[in-house]
Amino acid sequence: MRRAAWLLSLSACATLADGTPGLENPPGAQAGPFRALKTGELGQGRVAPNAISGSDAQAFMRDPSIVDSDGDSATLGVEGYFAASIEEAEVDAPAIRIVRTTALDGRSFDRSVEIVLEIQHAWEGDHLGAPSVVVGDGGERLLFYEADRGIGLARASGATAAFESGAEPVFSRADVEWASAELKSPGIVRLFDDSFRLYFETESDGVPVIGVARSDDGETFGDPQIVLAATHDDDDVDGAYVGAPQAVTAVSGQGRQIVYVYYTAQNSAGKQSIAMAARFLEEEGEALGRSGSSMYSPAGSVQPREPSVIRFDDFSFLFTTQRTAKNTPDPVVIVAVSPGDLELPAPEPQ
Amino acid sequence: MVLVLALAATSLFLARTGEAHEPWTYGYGSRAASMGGAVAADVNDFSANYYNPAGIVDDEGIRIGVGYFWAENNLRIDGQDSGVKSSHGVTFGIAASGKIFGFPIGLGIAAHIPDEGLSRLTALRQEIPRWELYDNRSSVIYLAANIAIRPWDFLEIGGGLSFLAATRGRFEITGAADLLQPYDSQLRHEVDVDLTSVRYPQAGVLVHLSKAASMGLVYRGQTNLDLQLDGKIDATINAIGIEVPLSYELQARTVQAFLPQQLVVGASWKPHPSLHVNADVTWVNWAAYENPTAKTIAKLEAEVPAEFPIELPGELRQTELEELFFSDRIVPRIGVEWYLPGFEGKGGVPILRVPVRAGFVYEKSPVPPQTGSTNLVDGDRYTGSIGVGVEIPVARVSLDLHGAISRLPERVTLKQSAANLVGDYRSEGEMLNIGATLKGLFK
Repeated sequence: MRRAAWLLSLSACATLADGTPGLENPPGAQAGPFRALKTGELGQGRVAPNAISGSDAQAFMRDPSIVDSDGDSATLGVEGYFAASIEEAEVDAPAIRIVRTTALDGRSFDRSVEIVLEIQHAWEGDHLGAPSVVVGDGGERLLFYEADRGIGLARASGATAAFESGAEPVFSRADVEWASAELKSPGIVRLFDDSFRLYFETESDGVPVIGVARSDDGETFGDPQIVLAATHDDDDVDGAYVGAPQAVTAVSGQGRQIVYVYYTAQNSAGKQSIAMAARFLEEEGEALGRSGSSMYSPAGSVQPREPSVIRFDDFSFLFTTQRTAKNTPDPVVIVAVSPGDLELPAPEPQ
Repeated sequence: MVLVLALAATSLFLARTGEAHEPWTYGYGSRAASMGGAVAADVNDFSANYYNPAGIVDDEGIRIGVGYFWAENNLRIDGQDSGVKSSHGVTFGIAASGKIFGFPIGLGIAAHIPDEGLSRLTALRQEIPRWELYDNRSSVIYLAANIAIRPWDFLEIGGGLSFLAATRGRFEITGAADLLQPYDSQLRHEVDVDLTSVRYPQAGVLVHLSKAASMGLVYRGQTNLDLQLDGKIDATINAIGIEVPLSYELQARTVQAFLPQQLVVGASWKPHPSLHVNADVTWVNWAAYENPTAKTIAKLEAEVPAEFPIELPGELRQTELEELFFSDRIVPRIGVEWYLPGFEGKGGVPILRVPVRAGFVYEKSPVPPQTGSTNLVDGDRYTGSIGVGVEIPVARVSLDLHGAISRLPERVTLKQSAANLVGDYRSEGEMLNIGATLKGLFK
């Protein structure tokens, strides 16, 4: 009996290794964190996680804006809009055009690209980039972009129609009395009430900030206000810099409408990552609540920037520009997925 | 009697592990489980070791019980099965009483051993959703030993100890690792794990107010497992001809398998010799619940040459544990036992005794709304139970069967922050518990 009790006392201390901790089918907002796609998850002969690489159009395509082609989150067809240089340009040459390509599976972009916008107006100066596209009434594409003297708008009547840009910017530093720098990196979103929010990057009193302006028609913006600013807190992922916002809407598991704003963040140690802030649309005002942690933070000082997130029924993709490697400035656009433990549908085409 | 004394003494003085998770969640023994656990003032079989140690001395002789239960959990979040494991295992125990120098004294031991493994403990990040009371708490061995006395005929007093095993571990790796020729690496590993026990008390009083009425008072102490792991890697990594000295230190602490202290007041009324009506009220000190998230301190130092294409993470931040703000709860239990008439033989002597039983328990969730970063999923629990027994007086053996269904109604969790990565969800579920217990009496 003594031996039995002793054996009992020993065996009682054992622990079992019984698989992944946590629940099966855990709830999740599909808002992050994102993990980069792995080998076999990206088609078109691309090397995961690079959705767009330097060989695409040989024009250093970057700064993605990804739009659901048919507005149906159950299907994966997307259009991708990118800033691009001229062919064979130097890697640090400014973007001067917007190009478009498509993907059937939400991430494996066709290698043929189409130029949809180039510099046409004096206010655009010698640079045009950071596209942000939203689908308006009747399938109209509204393409917001940054240029030298503000944020411009180009319209196309449909997915394959030509864009026409305005002779003046739709929103500029002159419209924002608290801005101390030019407005850059627009991020447009259409809310559930069909109103628009234009998020943008600028500075206020020299501090990097993200602002937002409201519009009912997608063309006339006003009431600009600051929604995010660098916190100057050493512990924060966005202590030193916030910028390049991109917004997307969602509905929570209990039916509450949300707008997520993804942005480039840099901490006081220079570590750059993609962060997120959000608000419930049922709440008054434009104030955003920070997630507090990075949604995508690769190792290797590849400096991710200019995020674009598209949500499908069961997962979300994050596209972001980053360096090929720590000491290689060539940009690539990578794709990452949330939730990270998801098994993606097969790429199409392989 | 000598054997029982020796057994009890052995289990008292050897390091044992035990904790009342499964007995507490699903009941201990079929009779008590079918009466909603409302037996603090009406227990004298082996299950007295758990429900009221004073009951060990409430009857003469050696009472042995062995049983098995199976509890299936169907707990869901947003309509999808959370995969919470079922609980099942063997229950056994002894309650023995007699007289020493004319003084009534009783000894008892009891155990529950999960049959899928003896212990399962998991430390999760505090953001990860989990059914806090029914998932990672559900597989710890229970072992207890008690002693009881009856100083007067109307008063019985009992008490004892239960034990848990705590783990303190250390690992250390030193040497040189060659990334290109791993078989040429020379690494020394040291693993040092201590198993130390923590214990908690339990005590009970049984007062017989009359032949038809009795009251019970039971206290169970608070306890938890304090898990600790220290690790250190001190090595030189050789990669593509470059040697990189590296030092990594890890300290992890976590509190697991928390069992709050409890105070039970029970009453039993026998309006008829064949009818028992019981009611218990339990105060459970859930407010003392500690955040089970692992507190981790990690430190990585390496002299990485500038040309080396890797970047070390910065200082790893220690997890800031959230205050959980659990609430104490009052748990009411009621139970009824009725011996069916009509099984008497000649002279009114019963050939069989057939008790039927029923019970009900309401356990309000101690977990506050999870509006912040934590996701400790729970809900109020309503449990209805039934049971039947067959006793053969001549052979002094009996068989009890029980079945219980718990319902956790839908609970909606709405997050305060739209940036919460788990988001809003609703949780609900059912639990089914069935089992049987065979008991024997040796006078």
